[in-house]
Amino acid sequence: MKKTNEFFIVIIGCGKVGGNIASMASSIGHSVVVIDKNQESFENLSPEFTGFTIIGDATEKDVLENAKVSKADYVFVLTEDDNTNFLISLQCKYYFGAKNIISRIYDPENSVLFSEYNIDVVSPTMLLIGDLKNILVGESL
Amino acid sequence: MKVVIIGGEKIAYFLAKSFSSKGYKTYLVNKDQKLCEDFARDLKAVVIHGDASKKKLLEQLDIEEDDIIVVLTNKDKENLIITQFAKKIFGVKNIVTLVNNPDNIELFEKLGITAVVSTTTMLQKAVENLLFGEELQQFLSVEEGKLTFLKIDIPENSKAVGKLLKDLNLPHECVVGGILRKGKVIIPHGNTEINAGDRLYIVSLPTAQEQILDILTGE
Repeated sequence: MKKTNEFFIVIIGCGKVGGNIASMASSIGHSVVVIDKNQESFENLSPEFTGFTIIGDATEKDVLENAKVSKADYVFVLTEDDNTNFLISLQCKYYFGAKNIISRIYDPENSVLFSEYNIDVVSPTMLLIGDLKNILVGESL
Repeated sequence: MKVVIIGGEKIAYFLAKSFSSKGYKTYLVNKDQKLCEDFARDLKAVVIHGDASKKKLLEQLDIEEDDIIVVLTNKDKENLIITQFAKKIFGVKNIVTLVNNPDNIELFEKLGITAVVSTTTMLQKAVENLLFGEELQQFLSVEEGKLTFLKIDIPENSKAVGKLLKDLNLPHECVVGGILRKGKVIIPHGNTEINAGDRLYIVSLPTAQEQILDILTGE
């Protein structure tokens, strides 16, 4: 199969979400770099993962530079902490000119701040609320 | 107008003390409950125990545009989100923050934080403290050794004597933060002349150390 859209993707935080999305992206032919502070986190990657892993603290500029964030088509910022994600996202944007930054946030109140800087967010909290709301509204009909 | 000091221990305490003694309405926010109790006992300030990186807490503080906000936590990620909430959501103009990792100074400046208290500035303060008999070693370990604090006495026969600071061609990886001359501290500028017997306090990357030594003490 001819690949028309091959992306270079940097994923920060290799938890369940990061690990899965990295494995998936790698399996469909994208180039992937995953950064995590802990070596053990890379166990969340599938055995077929063919991208690169970097052990390091992504709030440090050097680590982002090693991951070649400036060349990334997408940067997924998926650590467990909103404040960390905000710092990393802004570093990616201002130091490396990354264009498509997508960050996870847990606290929906933070979304307004991320959007001030055009950083896209995905909020598991909001998604869950949305899903549960659908169930509730569905039942009441 | 009020002064809101977020995070920090000693610096927060002394800042709050000085602001409240000058009659400013002073607020202290800290995550550490024990510290908050101490603050509340010892200071004439409103002390709030909580996490200022949460928008709700900032709302409770009733923050207004002309307030002064000083952010002093030891984590840049906390300082970043707090300063940005204050600036973007509450429209605060005067925000000062401590930056712990020198790499982040540029980022804070790009994001329009009014003043960034860098380690360099703190070290200038440290130089002043030295006059009161503090030990130099207290200020040596910054950033786990990634940043060094040099103290250099200029010998009589140094080739630097009589030259202006800007003409010394010191490496870019260093800043001369203070000069101790005849018991007085000078915060130097490019046009400051180097005299024999001066004691220079320099903030530098470890890699620049040798070059600096050569320029300042070489014959």
